[in-house]
Amino acid sequence: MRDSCLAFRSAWEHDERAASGHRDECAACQQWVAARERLCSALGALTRLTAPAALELAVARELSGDRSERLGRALQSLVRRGAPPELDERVAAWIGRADATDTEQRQEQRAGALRALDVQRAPDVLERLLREELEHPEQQQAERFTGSLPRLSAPAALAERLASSVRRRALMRLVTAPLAALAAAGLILWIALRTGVDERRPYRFQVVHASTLEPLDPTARALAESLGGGVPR
Amino acid sequence: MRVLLLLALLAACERAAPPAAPAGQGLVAGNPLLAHGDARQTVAHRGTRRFEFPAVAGAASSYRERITTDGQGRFALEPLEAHQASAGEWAQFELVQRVRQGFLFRYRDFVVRDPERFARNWSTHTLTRTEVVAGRDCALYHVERLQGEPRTFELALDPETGLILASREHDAGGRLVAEMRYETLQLAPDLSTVAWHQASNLERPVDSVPALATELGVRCLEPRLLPAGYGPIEVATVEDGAGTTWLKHTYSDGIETLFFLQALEPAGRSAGSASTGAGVQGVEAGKVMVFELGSARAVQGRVEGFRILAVGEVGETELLDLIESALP
Repeated sequence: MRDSCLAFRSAWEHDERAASGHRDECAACQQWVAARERLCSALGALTRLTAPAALELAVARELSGDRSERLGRALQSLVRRGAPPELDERVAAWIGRADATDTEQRQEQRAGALRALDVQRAPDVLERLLREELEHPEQQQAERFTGSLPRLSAPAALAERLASSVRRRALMRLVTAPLAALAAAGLILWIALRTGVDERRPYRFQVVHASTLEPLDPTARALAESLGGGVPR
Repeated sequence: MRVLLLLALLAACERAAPPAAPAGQGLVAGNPLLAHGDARQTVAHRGTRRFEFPAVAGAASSYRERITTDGQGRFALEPLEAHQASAGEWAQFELVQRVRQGFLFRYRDFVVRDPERFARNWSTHTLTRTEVVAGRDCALYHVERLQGEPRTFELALDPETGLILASREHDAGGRLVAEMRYETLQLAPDLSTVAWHQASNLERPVDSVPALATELGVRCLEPRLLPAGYGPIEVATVEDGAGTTWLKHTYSDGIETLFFLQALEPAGRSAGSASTGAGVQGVEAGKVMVFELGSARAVQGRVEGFRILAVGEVGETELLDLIESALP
């Protein structure tokens, strides 16, 4: 291979468009370029594998200085040692002895264990309700089942008086109600705008302000930093 | 008295009314920034871009990257250099940028994510002058938020491709927050050797949250009180590296995005054991922790048995209200 070939190939690998003159004159270099192009094409056609999602998190943790999981990973990577065969034999022998124990003895042990448990008392309110039910059954029934009593209708005179009163009030409402509603809405709006909306609302959670970004979830951090220009903080 | 109340009502209505919208602002059609959609997704191109963050100290205050898209949805972001960075800082910065290129492509660049809400919440003014960016004649636009803090963007749009080739973001005080600018632009580039971004968080769109809740046997939360101008744009499940699946609600005011995430785990597991994944150390049940990350905020915590995250460029009170409104 000549020096010019070496120079051409080096230049071609750096920038293929910049190196074109020598190829037209050298058959070996033409073949070399064709082989290189086939290789590029074949590599370019390969399916690109995706990095596992866990990698992103691991990178973020390492970059943020979190080394807490290194020990866990190291322990997980250790080869697991099996139990010695003598242990299996002893366990099998012990289980065999346990199977042979007397059934009655086992039942007695269970009964003893149950007796040792705490006895749960019924709640006090249940006792009180039961006592009241037994002492005054009619009163308890009346209090709980008033809905089942027969419903009485109102007298006709009451209905007439109500109808005339409703007509008078309807006329009044037709005029005054819209004005009153408008005035009330205006007053509320005016007060709201005058005082601003600075009042703190009560939340169902406590708000804490972070002094560092370490506790921030990596997903939230990536989103927030992307919104703020993609600049790591 | 009634007259006084009526006058107060009229005054209040006048104060509460939003500022007058520019002519045609309420229309989605005709807005030049909406004509092309997200052109990065539809125009195959390659370019180098420079990012500046004046408020950020250290190595990441200024960096360059190469963007490549195939016009079919695939993309790749390659960090090229970070100014004022040592070798160690650069290695870490490059790694983080490569790992997060999916987040960066979706949420860092200026993109109109919801045309209707963009037209409602933001005003667009065409500037009379033009600017050459990366060899392309660009039209200039001034975009300003109509509600809340008056944040603004100055955009240089390539009318031919619809690509935004430069953007400058200012905060309410007029200070420059972020700047992006294409230094080079190559349309229809050679894409044969590009290593496209491969998402690793297994994001899956969710068509029906109630159906998902029934399928998984968990209670799914959904915020009922959003910051002014925001609305839902998508719901999806994502997986983190710790094996936790999150239900992610994404909201937008047209440009900015806001996230609400809930860990999908059985009620017994979410009660507070420390083994439920990263990032929960130091956050006790019944507490939420607020983090400040530049212009963005994140709130995370365990409330009533739910692991919750809320992330957005909105105020702390709005994020806390969002979480409170999601609780059963």
